[in-house]
Amino acid sequence: MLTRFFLVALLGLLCEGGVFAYSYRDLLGLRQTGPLATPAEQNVFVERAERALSRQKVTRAHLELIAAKAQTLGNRQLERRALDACAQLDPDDVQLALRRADASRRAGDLRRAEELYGDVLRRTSRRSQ
Amino acid sequence: MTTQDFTLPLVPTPGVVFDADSTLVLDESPARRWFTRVTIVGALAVYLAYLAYRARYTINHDALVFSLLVYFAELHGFFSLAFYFHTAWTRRRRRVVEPVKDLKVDVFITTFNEDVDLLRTTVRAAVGMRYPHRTYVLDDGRRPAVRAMAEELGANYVTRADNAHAKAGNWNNAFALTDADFIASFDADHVPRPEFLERTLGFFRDPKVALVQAPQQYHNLDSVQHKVSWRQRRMYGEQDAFFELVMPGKDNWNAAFFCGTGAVLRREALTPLGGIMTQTITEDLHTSVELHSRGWKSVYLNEVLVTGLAPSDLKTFETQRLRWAEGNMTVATFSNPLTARGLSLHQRIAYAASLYHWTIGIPKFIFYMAPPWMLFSGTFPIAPYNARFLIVYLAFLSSVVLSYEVASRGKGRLLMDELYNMVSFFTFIRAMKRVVFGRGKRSSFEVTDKRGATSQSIAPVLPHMAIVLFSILAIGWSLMGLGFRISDDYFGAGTGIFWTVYNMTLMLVVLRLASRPGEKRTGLRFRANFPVESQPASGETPALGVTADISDSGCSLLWPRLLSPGTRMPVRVHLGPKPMDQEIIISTEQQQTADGWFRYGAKFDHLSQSDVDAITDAVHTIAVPHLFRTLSQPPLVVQAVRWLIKPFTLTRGRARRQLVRIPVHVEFEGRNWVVIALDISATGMSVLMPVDVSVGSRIFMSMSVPGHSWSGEVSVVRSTPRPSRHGFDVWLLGLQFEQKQTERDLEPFRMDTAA
Repeated sequence: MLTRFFLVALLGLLCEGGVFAYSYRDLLGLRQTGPLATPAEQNVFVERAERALSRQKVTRAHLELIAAKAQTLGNRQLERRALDACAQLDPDDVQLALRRADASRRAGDLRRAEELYGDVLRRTSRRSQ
Repeated sequence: MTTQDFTLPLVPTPGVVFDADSTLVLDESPARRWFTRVTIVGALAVYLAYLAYRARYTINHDALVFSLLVYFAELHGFFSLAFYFHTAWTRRRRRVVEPVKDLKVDVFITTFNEDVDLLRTTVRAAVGMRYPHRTYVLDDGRRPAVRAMAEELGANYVTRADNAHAKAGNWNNAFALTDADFIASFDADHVPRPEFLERTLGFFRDPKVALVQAPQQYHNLDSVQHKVSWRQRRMYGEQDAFFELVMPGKDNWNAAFFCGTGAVLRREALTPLGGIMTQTITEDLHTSVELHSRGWKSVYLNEVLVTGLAPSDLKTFETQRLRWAEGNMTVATFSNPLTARGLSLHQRIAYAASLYHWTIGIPKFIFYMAPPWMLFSGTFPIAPYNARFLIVYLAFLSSVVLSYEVASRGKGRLLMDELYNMVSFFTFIRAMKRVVFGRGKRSSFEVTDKRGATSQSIAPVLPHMAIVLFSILAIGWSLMGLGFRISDDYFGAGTGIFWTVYNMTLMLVVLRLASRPGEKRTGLRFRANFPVESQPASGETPALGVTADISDSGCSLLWPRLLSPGTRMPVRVHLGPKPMDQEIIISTEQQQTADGWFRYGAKFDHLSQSDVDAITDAVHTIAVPHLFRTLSQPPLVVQAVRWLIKPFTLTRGRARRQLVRIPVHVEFEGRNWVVIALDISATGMSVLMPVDVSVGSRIFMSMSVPGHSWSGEVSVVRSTPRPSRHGFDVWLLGLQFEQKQTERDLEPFRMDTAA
């Protein structure tokens, strides 16, 4: 009885592997992202990144990757959204706040950039006191 | 549970009437009692603080339902523990009181469809009880064979036209037809010991005592609810905690209840009820609530006075538990112990604890499902789930485990109890469902199958299989997530995997229980050692062997010589005072044990009914009590502590005793016997003799094992009669060697008793 049961469990694990690969195809694909030389590759990346950002849980490493690639591609909105999601995971990271401010500045949202720079200054001055 | 020697003096009482409460004596030192109480209060305080901390700081509002479910399960655990601690508050035991002579006693044995052979054992034992009584076989199966058997054995046969109210109706039918003042009640498989009535009836000197209950112990140790370590001489029975800890604890609050068998009841108390209660399928608990609420007392005597059959397979076990769970919970709808008039506060709490126990299914299910769900969903019932919480949790968990062990007085087996809770959790949920959604439908009484299933059934473990499968997939999902860096929560995943693996390991043990091969033998096989002597043709020396186990069809034989399968051999099996001449046929190949004996499967060629009865008598009079004594070693931790403090104690050390099973020739006053030695040490040994030999006598004995023999004179230093039915008397003799033996002399006789 137990042998048959474990065979079923093994079969279940194999199926689960397939489900896992399908469910996380965006995040798994992001990890494989190359230099994004062609527009097709860039489109696939953006599609995966959008999908990843719509998830409730994404690791900081994935968000950093999206932000970095989006910066390379010049996709400011995507970069900002990725960095904002990072900030939700780690709100005390001052370096991250600085990067968010830079990204806002590059995106032309100077008012938000100012807010974020001010926030960084407040935090660093508090720390130095 | 203690296996009591009958020679333990009964407490003489000056008058006929007395207060049964005076027989309750403390079973522990005052210091130990206070230590236990302080531990209990401390543990409850820690649990409450933990619950408050959880509620204030760790409810996960992002997964509120999940979080609250786990919190509910923890809250349920608090009440379980509090109820248990209430039971374990004081540990007392009962002193036995000598019964009044010439009481009118009837013995009821209820039966429906049990094998006649099985019933015969119970009826013979009941008829053979020493206190004068009448025995009634109450047969709802209306079987002529049972009638014939009852008449042959001197019991009365009672039946009725219908089976209304199942066992309770059967019992009440006989109750109306008979008139004895006291009624002992046994199930068809529960074999009373000869002294059962003598040990229990004395408590009825108190006119307010309505019920005396003895524990239920089971002699089929290969059942699904036993785990035996022959090497460590320890046994776990799933109901041991109930009968060794819970029932004595309830007895302390005058709340010990009728368990359906192995009890004596007072007619006067039952008459206003019309007998025992019939509204529920657990008439025993229901009757007890009614008796207590009318001001009657109950007594629990923690001695093994009756042994029965535990379910041998998981399906039967689950059927029995479903009936108990459903029936006990239903009692609340008829005689709610929280609102019933006449109960004391402690009785209410004790009964509430008994009913509450059966609600454990849902919280257990939550605990089994929460860790794999954490792994699958990545959400936690506790937030923030961090190192700080872990420290609080570990402190709480240690407090619960340690306090449980302290309150259980060294008899708690937390892991095994957890295992059997896991076995039954889904059954408890089913029972709850039936009670809540039964819409007033009357439950049916399902008789527990005493012989067990002959084939495996996976039905009882399908929920467990589903949970194991879910857990395996959850672990796989979590590991893939970590491996492919979809998740980086190593702390959360690690904790989830730990608890999932813990639960899954226990679940796999449950699955193994269910996958045990079905019972092929029709008869029960008992681990029993009786000397077997060959009956060779004249001139040859008879060989002596010993049974390793025995049934009513054959035995497992340890023999000093090599035999081939098919060999027929006339032998004399020394069943205590009744030698049985038989021809045995060697049926299986030999296996030589480490100590030189050959082990064979042997069949008896022609067993008459009187031979079968002799085997049954020997098994239940000699082997079964010895078995429980043998397997009563305390837990390893307790043994280790005792060993450590031994050099600092003032008690005089005894020579180290080793359990053995050596056949021994004994010669005394010109007569010869072949008996069995039970233990041996450098200074002496113990043997079971079919005759009394006075202390100080000298007897000649010889014993031999493969390759070694010893003979010489020994002196009798102790002679203890063992409780037995008439005509089947045995004495435990303590014998002292003339000269102290060396370890080297004794080594060959130290048979591997675990083999």
